[in-house]
Order: sequence, then C-alpha cells, then structure tokens
Amino acid sequence: MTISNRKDKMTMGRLPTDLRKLAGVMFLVLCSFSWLTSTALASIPDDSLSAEDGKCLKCHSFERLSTTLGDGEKLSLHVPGEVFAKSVHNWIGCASCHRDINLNTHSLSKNKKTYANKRERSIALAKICYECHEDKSHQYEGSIHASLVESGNFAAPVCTDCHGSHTVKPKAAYETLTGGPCKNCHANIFDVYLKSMHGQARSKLGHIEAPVCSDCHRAHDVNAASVEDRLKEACLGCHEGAKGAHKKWLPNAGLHLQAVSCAACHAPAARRRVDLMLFDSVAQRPISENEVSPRLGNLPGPRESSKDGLDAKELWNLVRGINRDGTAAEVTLRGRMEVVTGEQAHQLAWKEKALRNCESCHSDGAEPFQNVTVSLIRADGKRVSYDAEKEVLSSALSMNSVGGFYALGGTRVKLLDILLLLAVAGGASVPIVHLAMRKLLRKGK
Amino acid sequence: MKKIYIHPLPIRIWHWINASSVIALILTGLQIRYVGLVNVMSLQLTVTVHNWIGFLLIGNFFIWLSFYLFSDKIRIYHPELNPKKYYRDSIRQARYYGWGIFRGAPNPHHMTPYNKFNPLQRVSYQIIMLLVIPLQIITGILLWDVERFSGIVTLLGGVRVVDTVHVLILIFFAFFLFIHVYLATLGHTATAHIKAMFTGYEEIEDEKSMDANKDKRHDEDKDKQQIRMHITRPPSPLQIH
Repeated sequence: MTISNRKDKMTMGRLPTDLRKLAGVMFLVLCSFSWLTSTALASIPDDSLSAEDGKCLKCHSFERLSTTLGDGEKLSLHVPGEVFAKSVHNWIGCASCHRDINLNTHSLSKNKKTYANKRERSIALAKICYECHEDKSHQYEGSIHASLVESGNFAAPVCTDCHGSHTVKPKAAYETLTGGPCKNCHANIFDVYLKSMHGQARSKLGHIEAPVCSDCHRAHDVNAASVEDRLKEACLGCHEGAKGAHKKWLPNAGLHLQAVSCAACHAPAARRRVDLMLFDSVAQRPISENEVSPRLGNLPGPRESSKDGLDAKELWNLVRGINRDGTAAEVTLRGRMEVVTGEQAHQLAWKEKALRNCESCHSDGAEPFQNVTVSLIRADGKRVSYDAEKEVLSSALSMNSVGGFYALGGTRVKLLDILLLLAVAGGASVPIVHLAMRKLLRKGK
Repeated sequence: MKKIYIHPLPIRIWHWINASSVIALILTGLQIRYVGLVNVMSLQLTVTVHNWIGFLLIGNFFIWLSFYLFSDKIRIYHPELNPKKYYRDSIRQARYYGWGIFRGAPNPHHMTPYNKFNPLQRVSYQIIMLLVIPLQIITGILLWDVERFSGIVTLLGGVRVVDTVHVLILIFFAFFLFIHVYLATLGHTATAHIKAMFTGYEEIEDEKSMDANKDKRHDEDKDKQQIRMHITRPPSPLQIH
C-alpha cells in the first residue's frame, strides 16, 4: 500500500474524487517548491557551482582558450572555476552577467561579440555591474576615477580593475593593510601611508579603527582629496574633538582649519605651498576649466611646463577678466595652505610632532609662502595648477584678487611697510624741524 | 597766571588709559606684523595681549563717548556754530603753528572749560574719535574672530582688505603720536599741558597779564605802524618850507 493510498483511507475517505485529485496536485507542487528553495539557499554559502556554470567551465576552464581583439591583442577566456566558486558571485552564475551570450548560437567561430581592445571590453562589461549595484554605480559616476575613464585615461579603474572579474571578494577583504586594490596604481603613496601614524597605528599597534585608504578617500566616490573640503571632513569625522582642541590654543582656530590643510601642520616633514584656487564665492564651489577656458589662453601654461609664474598684475587681470566676461559666478581666489604633493600629504606624524609653532608660517619669508600656485578644476575633476610668483601674496595689486587669503607676518603687503616707514620718518621729523625753526628764528630775532 | 579746571576726572582717566592702550597696541601690532624681524614676544602671546588690550580700549572708548553724550561738556567740540568764524580761526591757528610761533606770537586760542580745543584740535579729535578709532575697533573685532564674522569680512572684500585698513590706521597713529606729543609740549612750559592732563588744571595767563600783553602787543603794533607811516608818508609842504 502506497502512502497516498494510506492517507486516502485515513483522512480523505469521504471527499469527492475531483477534490481529492486537486489536493494531490497541490501537495506535489508544494513539495517541489520547498525542494527548489532549499537547494537554492543551500548553494549561497556553498563553494560549488551550478550545473549550468559547469557547462560553461567545460570550455572556459582551458587555460589556452582565448580570442583576438580588434587591436590584435589576445584576450584569455580562461575562467578558473575554483576561484569563481569562492567569489561572492558564485551563486548568481555565469549567465547572470554574460546574458548577451546565447547558448544555442554561442560557438567558437560565429556570433562572438568583438571589442576593439581590453579597455573597451572592461568599460562595456562594467555596465552590467551597475544593474545590481545601482547605488555604488551612482557614487562611482561622480568620482575622479569615472571622470578619468571618460576623458580616455587608460589607467583609471572601472569596477573590474579593483574588484576583479571572476574573483569578487567580500567587502571585508578590501579593508586590509595589503593596500589592494589602491596600491596597484598608488604604490608610492601607500608605502608612505604605511610609515605614517595611521599606518603604524593599524599595523603595529593593532588599532583597527585607524583608517585605510577608503576610510578617508571613500571606496567608490573617490575624489581628488584637495578639491573640496571632503578630506578635512574625513579627518574631523574621526577626530571629533579636533576643532575644540585647536580652539583651546590656536587664535582664529576656525579660520586656520579653513585655510590650512590638516597635513600642512600634521605632516611636519612635508614642504608646503599656498594654492590659490579659482572659486565661485556665490555658489561656494571651485571653478572648472571649461567655464573660464577663453581666459586661460593668457596663462603661461600648466605648472609642469611653466617657467615664469603668474605675476600679481596677470592674476588681477585674470580674475577681473573672468568676472567681466559675464559668467554667473563671482570668481575669487580661495587661498589654502597645502603640502606640495599627494605623497607628502600622507606623511602624517603623531600629534606630538605636529607643527605648533606659529612662526613656522607667520614670519617674514616663511617657507610656505615661497611656493604659490593658482589652480582650477579640469573637466575630468582633477586639479590643474599654474605657477605663480611668490610676490602675488605681498603685492598691493592682489588686494582684490587674493583678498580672501592673508597670513599675518608671512604675506605682508610691502607697500604698507613703505608707508609705515614714511609715517614714522615724517612723524619724527615734524617736531625736529619745527623745534629747530623755533630756536633758529627766535635767535635770529 | 591762574589755574582753570579744564580736564574732568573721567576724561583724564580715559586719556591715560587710551594713551597707554594705543601705545601698547601699536607696539604689539608691530610685533605681530613684523614677527621674524622683531622677536620680543612670541606671536601667540602677542596676539592674546593685543586682543585683550584692544577690548580694554573699546571699553574705554565708551567711557569717553558716555561722558560727552551725557554731560554738557560736549560743547567743547562745538563752542560756536559759526562756520565762517570757525574757518577764520582755523586759518589763524594754522598760521600760528606755521609761522607766528617762530616769531614769539601768542597762541590765538584761549582755553576755557567750555572752549578747550583750538579749531584744529576740534576737527582732528572729532575725526579721530568718531571715525578713525571706531573704524579701528570694527576692523580689530573682525580680525579677532574672522570665522565668526566671515560674512561681513567677505562683504568688505576679504581678510586682506580688512587687515590693510587696520594697518593703515596703525600707520596713521604712528604718525599722529609724534605730532600729538610734540604739540603737548607747546604750553607755557614744555610740561605744562602734560601736567594738566594729570591734575586737571591748566595754567592760563590771567586777564591782567593777558591785557598787559595785549597792550604791549598793541603798542608794538602802533609803533610799527607809525614807523611804516613815517617812511611812506610824503613830507608836508610846511616841512619843505
């Protein structure tokens, strides 16, 4: 006797025949549904791949499997099955991403989609990631990496450059001290970071709260650190008490935090400079190159190639010219003290070693004011700098163009020094001359 | 000589606090501006001292303002509302300082409790107290906490502009102090006005001696006139004959 027959006898003996048939079908449907879901769920933590993926790997596990791209370069089509099985994407299977491939027509010779080069293929395939990771894609689109990709930069990363294609690891795998994947491109900076107090705190003292790259620069909406106030926000995000601690000893602490980058004092070994960024004072944002491109023709050239920097008159003409051109923006130069290179910005020292001596900047001929640049933001989001003469910081002609940046002692307007000398000389000579006249003329009388 | 009470106590207190504050502010200001070239005090300490003295001067300014607003002494700035006379007196005073004083001429201004200043003092002290000092106070407060007042600072053209105005006024005071101190020595003795600023009493020639002086001057003038007349008058026909 079968189970169903037994059940019939035990519970359904009085039901009509049609209803009994329907109940039987429903039971079978329920059983098969529960089996399907249990196998699907069971596959998530499992390293095994589905049978369909196994079919793909039949061919793609061959190490020599490759195709030729438009530029003649060979592209390996080999997928190491065991690596893919360990990736976080193992449960979605090959077809979820490679959905343009039709198994019926997928052959070695025909219907192959060809790409001009590896880069074009990576960029095209990255779009597939966006479909599931929409939030991350939006973040990435505003990043400097995305801007560089758009501008044709071959080194700028798309999704697979950081995450790999078939080796996508869990998020925690990136929060390590190996530096990956940032180190692949930014090796020099990463080495400096490792020696910095952040790197030391994490690697030697075991402070897991000490930041790795993505904590300050973010993972997907990566931006040039010095462009906006984002990096400072990142510093103050962890060092919550920093503002109050500075206020205790630093006069005009708020202004210092605005006009001086954290690294300028906390990387004491670094060289400093003053950067004057073309800035829209109404919208409170940096000016981009394309907004003022007609005026840039007069500039002596980007920093890397320029010999003579901008002088105070040229700078005055530049700012005045841009504002006269009728742009909606009200352009000024926002001055900020920074370290000279990105590498030096990572040489952060322990708090005790930070510069606390006011005279480091506020004194005649102080080092940070010997190096001046004027910068704006390129279309790709990267900052472009032009050299300027150091005298722009002390010229009376800069009163308007560099009105927002002034450091006591360090950027004195030289004309005022001359006026002071004249005033003292004049003030002292009036009594002397008057007294002499009184004596002489009375004697004469 | 007679003594007249010219400088009331609140004004004397204000004057000496103001004088020492201005000198201290100029000195600390120069240290702040020329740090690296002048190294008497550390910048941090100098800025703190400069700020505190600045606030002392601001408080003191209101002692001065309140005294004149709430007493009838405000008349010393406008003893007579007569522009023509004011203009004439100013020229006379300037001529005295520029020439008469060398020839031993008397000061054309005669001090009384309600006509304390000569016309040139009146205009310069009003400009200083109602325009220059308030401007220095305002720019000083803005520079004291630039972040707090960033809106106004930006409106005025930025921190460099505000600082430049502050320094220009420092330069003015550096010049003015020499002149002010020198003019204070031009009393009947070199220290007469300075002593009076402590005691409140100015020593003034009494009317008799003033009249005597006046008569003396009058006689001298008459003599000079007669000599001139004698030289220029043509001889009378009687004398010819």
